[in-house]
Amino acid sequence: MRKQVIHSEVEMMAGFRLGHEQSFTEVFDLLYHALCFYALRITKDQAAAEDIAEESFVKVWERRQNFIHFPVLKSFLYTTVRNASINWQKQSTRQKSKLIDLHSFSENSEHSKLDNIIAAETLRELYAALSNLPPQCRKIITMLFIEGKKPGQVAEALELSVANVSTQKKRGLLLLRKTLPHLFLLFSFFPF
Amino acid sequence: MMKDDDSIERAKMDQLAFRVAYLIAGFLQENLTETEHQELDDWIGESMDNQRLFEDMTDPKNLETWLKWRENTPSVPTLDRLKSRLEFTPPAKKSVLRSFWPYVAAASILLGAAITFEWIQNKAKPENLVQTMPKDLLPGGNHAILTLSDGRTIALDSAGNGNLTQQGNVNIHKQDSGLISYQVINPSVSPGKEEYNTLTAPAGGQFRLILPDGSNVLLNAGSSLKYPTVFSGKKRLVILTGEGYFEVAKDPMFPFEVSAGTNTIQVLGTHFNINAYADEPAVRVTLEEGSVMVNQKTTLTPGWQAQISPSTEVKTIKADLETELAWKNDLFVFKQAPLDEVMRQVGRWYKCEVDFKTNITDHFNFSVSRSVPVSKLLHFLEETGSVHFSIEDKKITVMQ
Repeated sequence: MRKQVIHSEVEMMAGFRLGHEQSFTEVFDLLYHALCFYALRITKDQAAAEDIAEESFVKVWERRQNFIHFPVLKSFLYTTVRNASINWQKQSTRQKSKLIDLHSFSENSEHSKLDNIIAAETLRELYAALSNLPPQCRKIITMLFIEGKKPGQVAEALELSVANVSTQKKRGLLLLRKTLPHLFLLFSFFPF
Repeated sequence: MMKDDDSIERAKMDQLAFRVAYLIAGFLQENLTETEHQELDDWIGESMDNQRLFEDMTDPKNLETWLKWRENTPSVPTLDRLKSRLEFTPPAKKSVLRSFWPYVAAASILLGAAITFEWIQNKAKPENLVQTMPKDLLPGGNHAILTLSDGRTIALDSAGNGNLTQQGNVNIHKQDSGLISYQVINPSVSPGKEEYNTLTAPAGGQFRLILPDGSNVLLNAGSSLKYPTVFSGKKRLVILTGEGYFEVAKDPMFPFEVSAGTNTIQVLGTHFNINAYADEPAVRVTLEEGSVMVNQKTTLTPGWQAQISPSTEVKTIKADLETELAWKNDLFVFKQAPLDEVMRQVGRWYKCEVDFKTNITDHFNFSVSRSVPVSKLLHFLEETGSVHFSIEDKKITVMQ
């Protein structure tokens, strides 16, 4: 079992090249939100960003045999999303107003391209750390702090006692402090 | 199959962005090494834009907004839609072997065919190794030399299984090709004074050892462990050079202590790894289970690592157990590793010199079994497009 976990990236890429659904799902789960986020930074349009991210997976699947290393695959997807986002932006601008000229396309510079990728990738890594919390604990933390629910509501939704919810909350916060100390600072503003 | 040169070029450009993201995320999680911290500082200092981006990425308000956005952007509908749009190959079913037991012969032919198929698939990759690497290097294995207290040496590779020799009240027993153990013959006899043996795993070797107290030590290539044939003092003291993975038998009355260079690691009963190679930038003590104390002041909890470099105090960071302990699972695992770090491990395990003709700044992610010939491992690295190798007379040359 342990070896399987360790080999995951290499195996995932091997399965991806061979066309396995499982490997596709793994790649999708790893990258979808990051690509969406990247598209959103350029287009500022949620629906367009989701479409663009989806299409990038169709495109990469057509060329799946070319990819041996995960970073190369990732880079291909980011480039695809970037090009599609810039195209979308041009078209939607044209529809709205023909007068807006080139200087609004700041995303064309090499620097901002890297900045947006850095932002998307940082969040991807952080979210991975967050998902390492035990499932129920993570669920409680998400409901309490991201969805803004009250302990009573969480307890009811998950069919747990309120005491159990606050125990799990303490446990989760302890773990989070180790992984996301800055976020913990933020959480500590919420009353217990 | 065609190699996508364009995408390799793009990947090289994006490599920097991925690296910076890794460093910022590591900064937020407080698990950067000293060197990585310095690298991040350097990057931030490069320009005002970098500094602004760093502040942006570490601002709790932004993080909260982004994480909320992510929670509110479901991925399942998109994944379902994609699955209906795309075509997939069903994976080969290995369970066929078990359910058709009487047809094992036929099934094994099928399996053979599957292996051949995989092999052809592998062969279909651009295979220029044949030209670039006329000479390969075989992986390391179970090799070690045992030095007894009177200075005699025993080459453990060639020794047969069974009792090797007797040291006082202790039998030294070779259990299998990669394991020796110390067994007390008569427990009622007083242990007498401690006599030291040394087990040395040379470059290209590894060996496992069971000490007289039942503690288990796996020695990595280019390492040695000096230990008494019986533990009769107040503590169980052993001396390590290089790298070893320890599973220490619990005995609160007699603490276990590892001395590595100028460092001491005190143990009650636990699993941990010590990497104390002289050519590594820091001594790393990684705790998997239990509790250890480093240099009498730093206590580690499981999953954490102490780093001791000559220039700094002991620093603790969250350990990546997968990479730190990979070697004991017979694997190389590298995550965001600089090439010199990769090649130090390669040099030890494949018993070769490494000559850098050029400085490679890229970082590498890969995992591969320690039982492959070196060409396969180097091939993985070459696939990134940022480095090439040649092998000659037990020497690997690194080129752009």
